[in-house]
Amino acid sequence: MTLIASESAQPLWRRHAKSQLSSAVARTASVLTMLAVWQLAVVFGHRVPSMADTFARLGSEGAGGQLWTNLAVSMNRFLLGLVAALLVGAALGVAMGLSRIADYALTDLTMAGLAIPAVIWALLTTMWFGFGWLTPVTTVFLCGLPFVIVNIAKAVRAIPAETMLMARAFGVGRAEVLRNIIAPAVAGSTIAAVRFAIMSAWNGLLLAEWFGATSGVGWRARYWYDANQLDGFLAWVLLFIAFLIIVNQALGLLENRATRWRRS
Amino acid sequence: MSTNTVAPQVRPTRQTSTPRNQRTVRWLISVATLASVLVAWAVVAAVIDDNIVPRPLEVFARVIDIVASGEAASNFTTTLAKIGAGFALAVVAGLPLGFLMGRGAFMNSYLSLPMFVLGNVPGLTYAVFALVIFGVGPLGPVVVSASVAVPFIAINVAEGVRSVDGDLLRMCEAFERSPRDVLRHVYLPAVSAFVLVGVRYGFAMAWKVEALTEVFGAQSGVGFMIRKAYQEFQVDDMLAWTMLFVIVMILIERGLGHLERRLFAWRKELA
Repeated sequence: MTLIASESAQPLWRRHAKSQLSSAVARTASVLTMLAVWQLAVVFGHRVPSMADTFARLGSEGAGGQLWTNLAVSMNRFLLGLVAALLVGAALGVAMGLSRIADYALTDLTMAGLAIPAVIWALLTTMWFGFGWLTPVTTVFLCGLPFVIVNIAKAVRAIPAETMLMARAFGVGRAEVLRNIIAPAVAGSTIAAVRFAIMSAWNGLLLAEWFGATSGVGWRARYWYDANQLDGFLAWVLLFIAFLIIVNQALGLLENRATRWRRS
Repeated sequence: MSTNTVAPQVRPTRQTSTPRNQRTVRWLISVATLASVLVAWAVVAAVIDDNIVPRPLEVFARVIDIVASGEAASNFTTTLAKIGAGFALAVVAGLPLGFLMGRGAFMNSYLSLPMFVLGNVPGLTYAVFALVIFGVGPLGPVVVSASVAVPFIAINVAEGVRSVDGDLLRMCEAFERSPRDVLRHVYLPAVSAFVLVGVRYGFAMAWKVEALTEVFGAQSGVGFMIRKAYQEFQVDDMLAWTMLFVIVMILIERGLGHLERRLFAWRKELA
C-alpha cells in the first residue's frame, strides 16, 4: 500500500512501466511481422527456403561441428583485422583532429576509402594474396579503417579548444593530455566508430571469405550456395544478422555508459 | 633550414588572411599527398614487377581507354538508372513509414528493428536473393537499392516529423486548418530537407550494395564490369573501374550536398 501512498511517484513509474511494456509488445510484434514476411516470401517467391528447412539445416550444421569451427575461424580473422583497423585508425584520426596538415593530407584518401565498396577489396585481395588468412584479414582492415578514422577525427575536433589551451598553459604533458582529455572525450565516439567499422568490416569479411577462403562463415555460405541448397545459405545468413543485432545492442549499451559523464 | 625561416612569416598571415590563402595551402597539401601515394604505388609496382600490381600509368591508360570507348558512360548510366528507380521506390515507401515512426513511440519501436535489419543485412544476402528471385535482369538491382535506401529515408523522415514545432501544430488546430493544409504547409517543408539528407546517406550505401548485386548477376553495369575484370584476372581493369567508381561517387555526393545547401539555405540547423 505504500505505493499508493506516494501519490506523486506513482504515475511516473507507472508511465515508465507502461512504456516499457508497450515497447516490448512492439518489439515482439515486429519480430512476428518479419517472420510473417518471410513466410509470405516462401509462398510467393519461388526458391526462398522455408523456416523449418533453414532451422533444421542450422541444427545439422551445429551437430556436424561445422557451425562452431567456421564461426571461430571467422571471428579470429575478424578480430585481427578489426583491432588493426582500430589501432591504425585511432592514430590517424587523432592526428587528423589535432593537426591541420594531417587533416588536409588524409581527407581525400579517407573519402576515397569510404567510397570503395567491400566487394572490390575482397576481389582485389583475393587476386593479390590468394586463398589464405591474409585475404579476409586485409579486407576487414581496409573496410573498417576509413570509418574509424572519420569518427575519431570528428570526436577529437569536437574537444573544446579552451580545454586544450588550458592544458597547454598549465604545462600538462602530451601523454597526460592524451589520457585525461582526449581519451574520455572520444570514448563515446570510438564506440560509434567501432559500430560502423563492425558493420562494414563484417560485410567485407563475408565477401572476402566468399571469394578467397576455404574456411569460415562466408566460405560455408558459399558452399551451400554452390550446392544450390539455399536453406544452408540462409541459415548462415541468419547467423550473420543475429551477430550484427547482438553487437549493435551491446555497443549501444556501452555507448550510453561511456557518455554518461556528459549528461550528469 | 628554409622551413624555419618561412614558418614565422606564415603564422601571422594565417590569422588575418582570407580563406583563399587557406584553400591554396589545403590544395597544395592534398595534391602532395596524392602525389606521394602515387610514387609509393609506382615503387611497389616496380619492385613486384608483375601484372598483379600494375603500374599507375597502365591504370591511367586503362581509365582513359574506358572513358574514351564510351564503356564508362554506358555502364554508369545503366547502374545509376537502376539506383534512381530504386530510390524513387524507396521514397514512396519510406515517407509513410517515416511518418508513422515520427508520430508514435509504439510505431517507432515496432519499425526500428526491421529498419535496422533492412539497412544492415550484409550486401551479399541481397545480392544472392536478388539473383535467385529476380534473375539477371534489371529488376533485382532496383529492388535491392530500394530496400537498402528505405531505412535511411524512413529514419530521416521520422526525424523531420519530430522536428515539427508542436506550437505550430496547435496553432493550425486553433485556426481550424484542414489536415491537407497542415500536411502541405507544415510537414512538407520540415520533412523535405530531411528526405534529402536521407537520400544522400542512403545513396552511399545503396550504390555499394547495388554494385555487389551486379557482381553476382547482371548483364551490364559497373558491378558487371568489375566481375569481368576479376574473372579475366585483369588487376589493371579492376583498379581502373574502382577509380572511376570512386570519382563518380564523390562527384554525386558533392552534387547532392550542394543541392541540399542551395535548397535549404533557409534552415540553419541543418548546416
